[in-house]
Amino acid sequence: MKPRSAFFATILASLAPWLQASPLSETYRVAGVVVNSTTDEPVPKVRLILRSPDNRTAPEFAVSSENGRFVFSAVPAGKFRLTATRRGFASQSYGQSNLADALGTAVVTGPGLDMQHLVFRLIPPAAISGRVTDDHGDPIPRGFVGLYRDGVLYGKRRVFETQFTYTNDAGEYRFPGVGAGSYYVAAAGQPWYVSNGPGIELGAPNAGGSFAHLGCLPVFYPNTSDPNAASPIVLRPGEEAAADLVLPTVPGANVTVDAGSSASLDFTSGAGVAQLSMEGVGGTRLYWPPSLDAGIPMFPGVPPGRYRLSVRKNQGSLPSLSGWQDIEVGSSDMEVKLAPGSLPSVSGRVVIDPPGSGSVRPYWISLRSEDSLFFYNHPIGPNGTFQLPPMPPERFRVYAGGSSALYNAGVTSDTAPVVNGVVDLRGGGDVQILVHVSAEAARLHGYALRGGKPVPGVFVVLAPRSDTHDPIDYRGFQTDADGSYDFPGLRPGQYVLFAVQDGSEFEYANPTVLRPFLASGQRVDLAASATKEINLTLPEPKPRTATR
Amino acid sequence: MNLRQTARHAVALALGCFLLCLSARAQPDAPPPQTFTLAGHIVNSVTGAPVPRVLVWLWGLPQRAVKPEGNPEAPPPPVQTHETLTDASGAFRFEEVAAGTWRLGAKRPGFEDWPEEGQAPLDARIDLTASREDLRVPLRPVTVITGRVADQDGFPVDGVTVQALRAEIVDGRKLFHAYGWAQTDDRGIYRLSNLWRGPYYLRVSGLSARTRAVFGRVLPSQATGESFRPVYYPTSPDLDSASPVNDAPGQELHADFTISMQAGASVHGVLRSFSASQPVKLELDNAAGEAVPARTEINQSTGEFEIADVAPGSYVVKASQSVRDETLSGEAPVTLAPGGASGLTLELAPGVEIPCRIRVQGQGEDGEPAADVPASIALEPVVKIETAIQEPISSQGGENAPISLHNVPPGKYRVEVSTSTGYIAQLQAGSKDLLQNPVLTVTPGTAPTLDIVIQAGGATVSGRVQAASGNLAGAFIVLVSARSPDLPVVDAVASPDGSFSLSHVAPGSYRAYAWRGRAQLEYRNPSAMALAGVEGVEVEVGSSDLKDVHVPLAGGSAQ
Repeated sequence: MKPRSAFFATILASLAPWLQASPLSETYRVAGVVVNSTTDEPVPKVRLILRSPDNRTAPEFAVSSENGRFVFSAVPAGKFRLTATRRGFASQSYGQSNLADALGTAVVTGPGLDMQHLVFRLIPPAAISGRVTDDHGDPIPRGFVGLYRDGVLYGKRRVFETQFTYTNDAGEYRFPGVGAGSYYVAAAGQPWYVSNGPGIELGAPNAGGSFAHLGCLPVFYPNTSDPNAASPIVLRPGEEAAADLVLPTVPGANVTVDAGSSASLDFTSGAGVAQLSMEGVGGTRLYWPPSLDAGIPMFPGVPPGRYRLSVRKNQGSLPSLSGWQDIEVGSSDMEVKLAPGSLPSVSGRVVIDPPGSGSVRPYWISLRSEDSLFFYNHPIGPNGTFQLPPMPPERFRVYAGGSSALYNAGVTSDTAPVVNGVVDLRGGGDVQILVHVSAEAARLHGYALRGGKPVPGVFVVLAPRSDTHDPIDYRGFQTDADGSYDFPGLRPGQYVLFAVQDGSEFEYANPTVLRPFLASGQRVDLAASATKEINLTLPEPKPRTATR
Repeated sequence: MNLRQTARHAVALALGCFLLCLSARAQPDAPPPQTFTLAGHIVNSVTGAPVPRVLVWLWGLPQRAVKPEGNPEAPPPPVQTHETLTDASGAFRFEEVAAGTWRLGAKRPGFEDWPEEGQAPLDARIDLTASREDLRVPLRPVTVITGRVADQDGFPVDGVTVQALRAEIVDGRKLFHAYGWAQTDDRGIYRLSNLWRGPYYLRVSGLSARTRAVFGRVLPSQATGESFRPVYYPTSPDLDSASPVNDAPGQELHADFTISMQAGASVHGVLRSFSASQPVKLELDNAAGEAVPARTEINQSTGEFEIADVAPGSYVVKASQSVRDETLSGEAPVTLAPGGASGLTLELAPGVEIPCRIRVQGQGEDGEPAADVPASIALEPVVKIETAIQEPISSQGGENAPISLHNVPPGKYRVEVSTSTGYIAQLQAGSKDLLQNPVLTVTPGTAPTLDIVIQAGGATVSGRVQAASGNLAGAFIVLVSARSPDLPVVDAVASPDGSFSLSHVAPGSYRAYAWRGRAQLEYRNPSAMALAGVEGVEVEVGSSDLKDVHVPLAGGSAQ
């Protein structure tokens, strides 16, 4: 049921009129067994939660018995999200094949549907933990540790940061609830006798003492300072990986930030933030733990190299001012003048076409950066206007969301460049945008069938036949328990429809990966306001080759 | 301000005083200074074992850097430092240290970097006039508490909050301050580190999380349908019956918890008069006034909210939001049945304005009608567990300078009024007599005027602290009202011979206590005083002065 990726889950969260409970008063049983996905053994005492996606009915709860069996005895007709939690396991959805993504299969109740033989394959979470020390064996407390996954995000393969944490007083860290896959781990920090940690003033001894210029080289697993020499840790479900990191003590330079007085940045209270980062594996960034010297951001003992220094002023949880600069650190101390500038201010209006489209309206505006993983949702007022807090000076795709009857037709602006639907906020200033949505959205739905029988849990992809460069035009759907799929809110156009067995690592928005499917998939042309039902017939699985 | 911050501020203050002293002692044309060696060992104050790799530093002004007298334009001399790390035997050595006055510091993770009382020479002043190689510097190890939180089936419970609380007595009241907190990981394991001298009480409560904001037509429920009630170490349901974990500096203490998961219910309601574009904070307090961490969620398009998975009982739901430098807040009581609670409406509003009217009566010392007497008014939030420093809402004024307390959020406050030339004869909030019970409950909307009557003058109570022996300088004397121990007290500090004088005392019945030393008396709690065997002495104050009151020193002889 879940669309691919957390971002689209947000966008499409309420696109669910077809998920409403049937007016029929009959109720149905939803039952099955929970098994460990790696051992196939039944798992008792698992808490199962059945939720209707539109929240029209209160969640229902059940607990698996000693033999792993569970039952919801009186469920109205409809589609439901079934999730399971058990202590020691991460919360997960029915039909989920990897904890690293959000794909799941909805449970569907109704006449003729058998939901009494579900097998909930509970995936044991993997974890990575370790200790970060200096080369004398002393812990690096409050060191930054990043976890980077080599996987598919927004339909394309890339390396991206999935979690970060800071080490405890003993230099220990732990990333729990990790899905199977390939991960890089990196750490940065300072010797305890140099650093006093985030938000805390550097102590008197470091002001000019003999250790003031000592720092630590950042390290990528397995203990290399070269991101290109980093090795991934490949995890299977339930695996515990240990990744101890030793940060060599080296002479470095103290990097101090002069943010100027005009921005009146208060770094001590956390209203002002200075960040130092270097490029890590695959374009990701590895951050330095922050520290202050007499209220001024100061990164002690930074090893020679190329870094990005940024400052920002926070207002609530969002920045109001920001600036960054790439710097080359050598052997001498540096003071970098970096006054943050005003961030772009974005306001605007949603225009619904054709005018007078009834009560249909979007509820929120989404900005998704093309330059980073930043995304932000903001409510739209009843009159269709919005005034966003200051945004980072990046390029954004802007979408209006909250109604399955609409599709996003484009963005225009007289005050900022818009290229291929991307609003460029790097010029700053007051930017007004118009977000055009159309009430003439198309919809495609149907069933995945094999031998005439519905196939739940396969990944159905709808992709434009010509690359539109807009990720929202690429859709993926893991079929529900009745084999159904549904793509509402579509831009009219020419598409290709096909299915793959497992969607968790499929690059459904990568035109190169899609190329072979353009020929083999089913061509679908969707006119404005059209609703089409197409059943997708899947080939019989190839017989397994006998092995000796 | 926490203990460490206090310590750092103390360091800054000490350095300031120290530099001033040195400046005063500066001599023009001082001869070139001699240099000496300063060396010693760092040892664990509990085990006596040497501690390797401790950062040891000297800071201060050598004689030659002292600013010459008669040259006020000269830039201030730099503070000099020497640093080293102890070797495997815990030894440190500074060579060629200029003669002068220095301070010694030492730190290493796992040890307190501020000295215990009498733990010289750490942070002690060292007048270096000759080499010294015999310094023995004890460092007190910190306490680490780790453990595992499991449910009744033995499964680990992740994401719950474990707090380390330390009992402190402030102004005769015991309150608990949260000194550290940790969340259990996926294995149910928590680690509370770097705890300074205790003892500590431990509290396990629900999941701590920010209020999640969603937009759109629906509010997706976060409920899992199960909850647990807070547990205090070892298995107590409340703080009053809890036991502290034994203090054992340098040891890693282990405290496991078993929590009983039970059916949880959710609170559903609607927030009104809020800004859809600013974050909202939803919180829950239990009947004991303690914050109960819970998963909270609000739909900022509709105002619908959910507080998920809470044990049935009585609570207060609180909501707050910052909008353009103004804090909007609202709260409402809720009784949560096993099936949940719904239909709650919370209205956000700015804090209330509390006008204060001050009247002065009686005669001044000159026999004339008393002139305007300034008074300061403070509203101290009443909390059982202090998780952050909460500054009182305060103002100053007088009869001719009417004042108001602005933007007071809903809550319970202790009203404290003080004046230097009289006593408070009347303190009313509407019809509520705050001299009977000074706790004022502020609710959203309007608040009654605070009526304050200051009586000029008052009696003087003088006497002597009685002790078997010792210097009584610095002993504290306090008069606690017999009417209510919550009322403001009158206090003073004794002279070396034990004599004291308390002025501007209102007529009435009191109990007087005296004590000295770092330990504080919980003098507002009669049963705690009885338990500690501190009786004090009854004092009846009329309109005239009272002399020769003898107050026994708690604990017998002075130190």
